[in-house]
Amino acid sequence: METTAVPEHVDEANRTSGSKRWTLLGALVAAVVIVAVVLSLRSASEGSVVGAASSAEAVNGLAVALAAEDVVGAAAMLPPSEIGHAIDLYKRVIELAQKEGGLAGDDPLAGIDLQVVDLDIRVDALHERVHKVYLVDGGLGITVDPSAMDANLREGAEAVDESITLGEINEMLAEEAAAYESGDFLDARPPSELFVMVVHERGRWFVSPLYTSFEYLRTVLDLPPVDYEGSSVGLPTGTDTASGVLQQVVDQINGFDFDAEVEAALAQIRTGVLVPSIDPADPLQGVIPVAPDEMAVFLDHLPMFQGLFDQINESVPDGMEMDTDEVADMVEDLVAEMEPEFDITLEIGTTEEVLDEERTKVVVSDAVLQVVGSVTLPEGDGSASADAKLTIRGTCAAFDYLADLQGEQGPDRSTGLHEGCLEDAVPGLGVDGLFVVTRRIDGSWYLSPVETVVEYLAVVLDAALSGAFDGLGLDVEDVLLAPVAAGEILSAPMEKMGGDDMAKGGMDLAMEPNDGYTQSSSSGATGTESAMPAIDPAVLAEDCRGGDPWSCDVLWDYSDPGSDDEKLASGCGDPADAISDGGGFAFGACTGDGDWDDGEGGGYDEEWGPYEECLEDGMSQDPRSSVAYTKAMRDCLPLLPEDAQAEMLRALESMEAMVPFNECMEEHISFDDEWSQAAYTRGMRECVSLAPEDQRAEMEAELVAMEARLPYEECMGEATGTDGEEWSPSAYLEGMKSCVELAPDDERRWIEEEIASQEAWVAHEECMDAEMGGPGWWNEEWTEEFQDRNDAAYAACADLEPEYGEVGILEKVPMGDAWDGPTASEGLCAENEQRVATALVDMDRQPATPTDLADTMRVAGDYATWLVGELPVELQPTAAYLSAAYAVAADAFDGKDDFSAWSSLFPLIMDLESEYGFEDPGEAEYAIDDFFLVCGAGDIEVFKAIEEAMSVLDGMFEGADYELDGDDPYGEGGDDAVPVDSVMVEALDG
Amino acid sequence: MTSAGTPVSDRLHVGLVALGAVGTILSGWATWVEVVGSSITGFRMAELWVVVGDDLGGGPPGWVGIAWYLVPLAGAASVLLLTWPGPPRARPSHGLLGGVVLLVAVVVAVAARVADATHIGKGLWLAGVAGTLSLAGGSLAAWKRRRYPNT
Repeated sequence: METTAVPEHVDEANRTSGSKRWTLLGALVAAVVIVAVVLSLRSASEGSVVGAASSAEAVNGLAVALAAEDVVGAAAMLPPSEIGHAIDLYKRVIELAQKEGGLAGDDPLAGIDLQVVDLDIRVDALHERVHKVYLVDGGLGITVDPSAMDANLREGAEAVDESITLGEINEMLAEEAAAYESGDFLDARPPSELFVMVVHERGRWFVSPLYTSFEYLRTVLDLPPVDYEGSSVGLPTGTDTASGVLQQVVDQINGFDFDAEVEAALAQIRTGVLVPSIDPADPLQGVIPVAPDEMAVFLDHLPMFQGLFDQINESVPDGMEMDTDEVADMVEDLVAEMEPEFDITLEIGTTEEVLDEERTKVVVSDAVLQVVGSVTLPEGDGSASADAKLTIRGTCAAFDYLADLQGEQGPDRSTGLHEGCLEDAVPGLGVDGLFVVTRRIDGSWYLSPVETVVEYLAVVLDAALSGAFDGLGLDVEDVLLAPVAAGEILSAPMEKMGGDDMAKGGMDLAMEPNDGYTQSSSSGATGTESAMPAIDPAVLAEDCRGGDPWSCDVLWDYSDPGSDDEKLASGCGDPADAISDGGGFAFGACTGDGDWDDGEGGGYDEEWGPYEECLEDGMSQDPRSSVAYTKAMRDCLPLLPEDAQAEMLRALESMEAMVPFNECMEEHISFDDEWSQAAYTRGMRECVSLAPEDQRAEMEAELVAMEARLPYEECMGEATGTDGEEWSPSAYLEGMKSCVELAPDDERRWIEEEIASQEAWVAHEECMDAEMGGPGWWNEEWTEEFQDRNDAAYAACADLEPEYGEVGILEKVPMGDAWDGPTASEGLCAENEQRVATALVDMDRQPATPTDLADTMRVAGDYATWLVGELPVELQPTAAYLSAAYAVAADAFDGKDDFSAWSSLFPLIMDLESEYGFEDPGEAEYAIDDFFLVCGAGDIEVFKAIEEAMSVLDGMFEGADYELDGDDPYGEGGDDAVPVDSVMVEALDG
Repeated sequence: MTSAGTPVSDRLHVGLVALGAVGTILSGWATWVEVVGSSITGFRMAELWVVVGDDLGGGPPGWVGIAWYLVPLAGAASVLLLTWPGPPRARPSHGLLGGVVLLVAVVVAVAARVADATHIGKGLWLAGVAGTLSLAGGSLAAWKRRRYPNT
């Protein structure tokens, strides 16, 4: 085989040539890739861009997309500055429609055929970035085939087959336009030809709905031409950070100068022009930095708006022309006389959430908006002032106000507090708080109204898809109007948000239509005296007598202490059942607890009613047994609303772990007999080994303390053993005196102090008996003469009256209206209102876990600590005691698995009692409530919240009806929601 | 043929590296991650990476997003290294570039798996396979260079 020798230089030349080709090819590929990457970088930096390369292509592209019923494709031809990322919502809207049953499939346009054929357009380049595209001719058609439509849209649909040409429409318009004659104000001139406006942004062309709408408006109203350079003038500058946008809003609000605004308004009136002129050179001075491209359409059309304003100004008929100087003088005089003052302050805290390269969501995590205003009423009618504050923490908000009218009729003060959490009303909504969406444009941040709206819609749609609105009775319209619903929730009265203290005169009474609440010394509650419908006690009495429990309870509020009406109300329609409370008759709570909350529900809770009925039935044999309660809970659990079952199940599991212990305890102690602390201690010793392991150590420690007290308790049991007779204070006092030596050393002090307290009260009572003519005087009919005699007796025995709150000298029954010390100043009232509102935002009235309860306690403790520095010297120990008590309780519950930790509170509360002299927090709260009584806001809402929060422990006391000593502080058959703190005190008393 | 044995075919190395480079480049325009409701192509991924970068801090906004563009550029670099100076030749550095691409693909894949709303897209699979091919081709080239230093 012959081979031809190839010269080396030829081979080398071929190799070199091949190498160059490969190198060239590789370089070419690399260059293409690099160019593509650079273009992609540019594309990404410009945001979501689709659009078209020319205005004509944009119109044609939109027509093609519409003809193909391609929603996404059509949206791609609309400007991002007008629709933002709205198209991202499309799929979710479809999913929601499917979920709600509006759609069966995923194509709402199935069976609908749009036709756009032979489109003939003419482009008029008005500006380098705005083209007017006339739709000269082409066929438009629509065909609807009901059989091919979505199954859920098919019903009622009719077959349609219509078509028309754009030429025909233009001919009609041209005829109308030719017949147009300039007429009166806002006379409409039809356009002579159909058109759409196409704008250039982000390097592409888009069909603009807003420019098109404005251009039609301008044409129809014959307004001045558009200045397409307008959007390049006077643009606000962006901020360095996304949060800075909101801060700029805050600065503008805080910089609001009421006097300057009034002056400017007066100057405007004097010009005789209704609507002020727009300064085209600086139209946006001092406004929020809104994204320039989103504002462009409005800025371009400023001359048009100015023309519209001019038409309005010129339209005022001659006969109606204002003598503007006269009006301005009148307003100026009025301002001088009324001396209006208005101040607004806003503070916010924000967090940022990056949505993508261009967009960042700025969430308002905290906000406090305060508005303060006052005016002097004309003609010496007094003055009016108002102080309102809105506090927002995440999705929780509290709104409180204090309005004061100093008129001829005397002072009229009105207060109110509303609070609520969006998450409570709509669990799973998934929002962190109010937010805006900002965009980064050329390195600066601007507010984006379009993206903000889109993001809110996205949040609502996501929540709707996740079922957050299920079970709330909301439909899609309600979902989309969620912000309105949030406002309604916020403005809902407190009792509908879980508060139940209406009977005591809660703050929200001021907002109730039927809350004319007069001063009632026996209730210790006060209300407002604003214009409210008059309530006729006679009618209430008649209704109460007729068996209407609600009327009875309201009547009690309106009746004088000791009066027949109060007696009737206390007995829930039967005076024989009235319960005397010394000075009058106790509140009957005839409607029962909770009925106040139900509004139109007639006292029956549709959701919880079946469960409560089942529970009641399950415990009918043994209403005081916690074991029976636990078993009934297990049986009735399926009747609970679904969303409450999981939480209740957790509580149930915790209680079931205690069942062996409780069964054992119930064998050792009987609730039918007199309560015996000694029997309880012995029972506990027998049963403690059956307690859950994680609680045993704590219970053992408690048991040791209880056993140390056992000799004392047994001695007391013998000393006060009454065998069915009424409990006697004197026997109790004598018992303490004879048994105190048996008490543990660390408890002896408080017993001795209690003895001192009791003796002091006995001396006072003896003095009163003597002054009033012997014991039993409190049963006399309550007349004015009796009142005078009683006042005189109190004055005569004043030296013997123990100082309330003094260490060692305690009131056995704290009287809310007994505080005769200094009262809160107006300034402190207002400050306290704000402080209370702030505290309530962080308080949980229905804590699900012991840690939640501990957190709520801590917030109340902070409030009490604040009070220490604000209250007069006499009350400072009272606030200090509360601060310490809340802290102790918080520590006791924090991190615990269940609420059984309440038992460990006893010794701690006793320690505090020996230190401060208060038996329980409620006692101290009364004094502070009284101090702030003058503010007209009723009892301190923080204390009420604590009481409500503590009511989660009611189950620990063998059911809501459980009374440790058989005495119901609200009267027999009265309020069955016995405050836990009072129950605890009674347990301590044994 | 040498006394050390039959050298691994150059065509295999070159083929692996070329496939890897092309796959790496193409992956830039394919769907890396599928999000519920939409798919995200390689370059749209940059927006997500910007979010990650901003969250991480420590640099100018979008630095991670910009860094991500190095993936297709790595593909371009592979092509250049393959053909310059020609004829096509696999190099150890191809293995390094492939390893980088593979690492990025694995990190993104883990992130996509961890996140609730995302799934791995075809582009990510492509990038992973392409990175592996480049890594294999480059590694074989490196092994061959050590084993047969004179070839």
